[in-house]
Amino acid sequence: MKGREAGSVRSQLAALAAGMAALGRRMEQLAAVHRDGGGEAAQIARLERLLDLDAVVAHARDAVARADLADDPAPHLLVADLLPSDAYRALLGAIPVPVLFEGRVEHGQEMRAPPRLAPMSSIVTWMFVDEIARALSDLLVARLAEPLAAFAGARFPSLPPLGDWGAAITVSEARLVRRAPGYAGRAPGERPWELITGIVDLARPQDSPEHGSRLGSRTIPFRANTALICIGGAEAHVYAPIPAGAPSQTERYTYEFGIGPTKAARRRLAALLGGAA
Amino acid sequence: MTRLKAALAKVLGGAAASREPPSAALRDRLTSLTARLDEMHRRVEGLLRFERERAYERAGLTAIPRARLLASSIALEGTPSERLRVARVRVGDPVERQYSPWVGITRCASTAPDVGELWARLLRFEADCRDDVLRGFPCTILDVPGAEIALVDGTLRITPRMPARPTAGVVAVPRCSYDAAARKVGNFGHWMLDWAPQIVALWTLAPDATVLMPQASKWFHTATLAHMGLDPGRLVPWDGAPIACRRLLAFESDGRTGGGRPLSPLMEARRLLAPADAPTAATWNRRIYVSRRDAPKKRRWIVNEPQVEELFRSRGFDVIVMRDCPFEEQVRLFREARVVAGLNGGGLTDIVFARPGTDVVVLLSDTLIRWYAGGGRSVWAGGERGGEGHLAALGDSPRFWTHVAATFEQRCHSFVGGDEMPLADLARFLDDVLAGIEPA
Repeated sequence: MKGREAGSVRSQLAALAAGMAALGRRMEQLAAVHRDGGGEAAQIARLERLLDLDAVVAHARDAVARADLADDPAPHLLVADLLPSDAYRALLGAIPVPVLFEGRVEHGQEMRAPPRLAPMSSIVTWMFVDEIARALSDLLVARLAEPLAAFAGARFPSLPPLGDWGAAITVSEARLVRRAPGYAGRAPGERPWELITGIVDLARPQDSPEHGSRLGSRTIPFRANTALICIGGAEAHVYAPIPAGAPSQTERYTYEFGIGPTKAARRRLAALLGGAA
Repeated sequence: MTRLKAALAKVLGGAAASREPPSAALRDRLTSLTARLDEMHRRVEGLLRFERERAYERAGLTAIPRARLLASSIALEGTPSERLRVARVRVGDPVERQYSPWVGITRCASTAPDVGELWARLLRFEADCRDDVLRGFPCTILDVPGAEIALVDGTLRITPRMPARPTAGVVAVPRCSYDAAARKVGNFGHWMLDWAPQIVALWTLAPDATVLMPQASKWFHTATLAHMGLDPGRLVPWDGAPIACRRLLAFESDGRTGGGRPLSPLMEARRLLAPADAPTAATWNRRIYVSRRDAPKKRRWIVNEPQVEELFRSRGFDVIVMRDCPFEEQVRLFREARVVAGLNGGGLTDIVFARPGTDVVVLLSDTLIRWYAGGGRSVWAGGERGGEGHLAALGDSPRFWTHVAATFEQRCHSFVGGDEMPLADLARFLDDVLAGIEPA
């Protein structure tokens, strides 16, 4: 076989191997979605007993109301004991397996929340979390009102003051983020309309406080059932890297949600700015 | 995966043992293996898509604290475990229709500045749409094995629970029974384009179902269903009082997008109303002008319709008044029609019987344009309904009939004039339209 032919065969083989790896991953995803398929009824019955929206929202609103508003290094709330412990445990149990996350380990893997591809009980749980985030958004906007108005004025100087936007402000997008050994930092991706970002640490009993996040110069340990609420989009804070040599079980999961104007309001505001929403 | 690995090993081994030159054999086998791998990828992606939709949909129905539905006027009550028994069923095919080939001559002869501005805005909006396709998704129906239902404050409340003593067997509830103004239910156009397709979809799932209607059947309800081979006797008036049934089918969504027309159920109904294999009419050269003489005075839209009718008569059109025309006669006339014309309104509904390729001429007056723009409805007129850049946002606009005609692959021409139609301009427009129509 001549050199050029050998090279062509080698590249075809490499493409085949890559194709097989991708296929293997897809098949693992299928298996993961089916894993609890047989026990759906029992799992839904368990969630039904556990997840009481009124009680959980009351607990979470109380936790947000109690949190101190800190200014250093940027305005933020650090909310401890965000959810009742049994609801928090339900969240941990609903974290989908790693193969269902998309993206490269070095940039952090993500999944929109509520997820589309996950066991049904997991989707139900994250839909419930979505309801909680929505029920908290007005309180978060109120608690951060002053710095938020300043931030909106600085980001959109040609728009009227935030209070005059006449826009409904609520949860705009949420995602689950997975970090694992080799995570170096997130790929840049600005979300200009997110005015507030909430990051809920999904620390499991075996997770240490290491590899949390950073807000400016402040290091924030990774703590169970704790939320960092800060002004601006997801770029406002930085997740700590996890060295490639860390033990393989060193994973960090977070639930991240953005709060901003609704789609219709963005469209209207973008028209005022003369650009696309 | 094991099979693939084995196949790969065989490729390498097989190529060595082959009598062909090793490089050619290797290349062939690698190519065939790549093709097999691609096929497996396609299958697995299909399965994943199916699982994704299935899991998300079931989760939405089971969501805590309440089900996430595609209709805000339905409340699916009961515990999540009870709701787990509910299935969302899709009926019909997705429809995609290229739009611009079905847009014929468009002319505005109105002298009212506001109407001119509105019309120009509409055309700009249409031109700015990046995607030249009308879309409709299959309609969805909630299939509940055992339920208690009632209408409470305009909401259809469903409790998915097998009743100890059912008061009804299989019950179907179209959307017009819980989410429509009474006048729309009694309107021929809405019936044909919105409600009858829903009943067709419900009966596709359960031909033995009793359909609960918000009022007693009118003659055209009965006539159209009978024409489609369905039993109109199964329509039963319902006042919303509680019913406990063995099986419930609740029409949830008609699959329209952003203010557009419900293309998928409409096409399903058209298959029954005007089957492609129906005997072809002997002629296909009739010209029909649908008069609005039978409409209430404030809905006649123009003040000089007799003169307009005369103009159309002079161009070979038969002027028909739908109220005077028996249903089966309407079907026959429209099947024979090469051109259908009329003022924008329910009278044009019968184009559902007309063949693909028929030309439709829609007349719009100042009052009509203002009526469509009023109430801040769609984005083209400054409202928030529908999305920028999407043709569907014009489904509820002066382009209504153009969208319906495009769905049936009929070319639609539009003329905008004052409330007193400018006859000379209209004549020129009509002559231009007719000049562009090939003789049958």
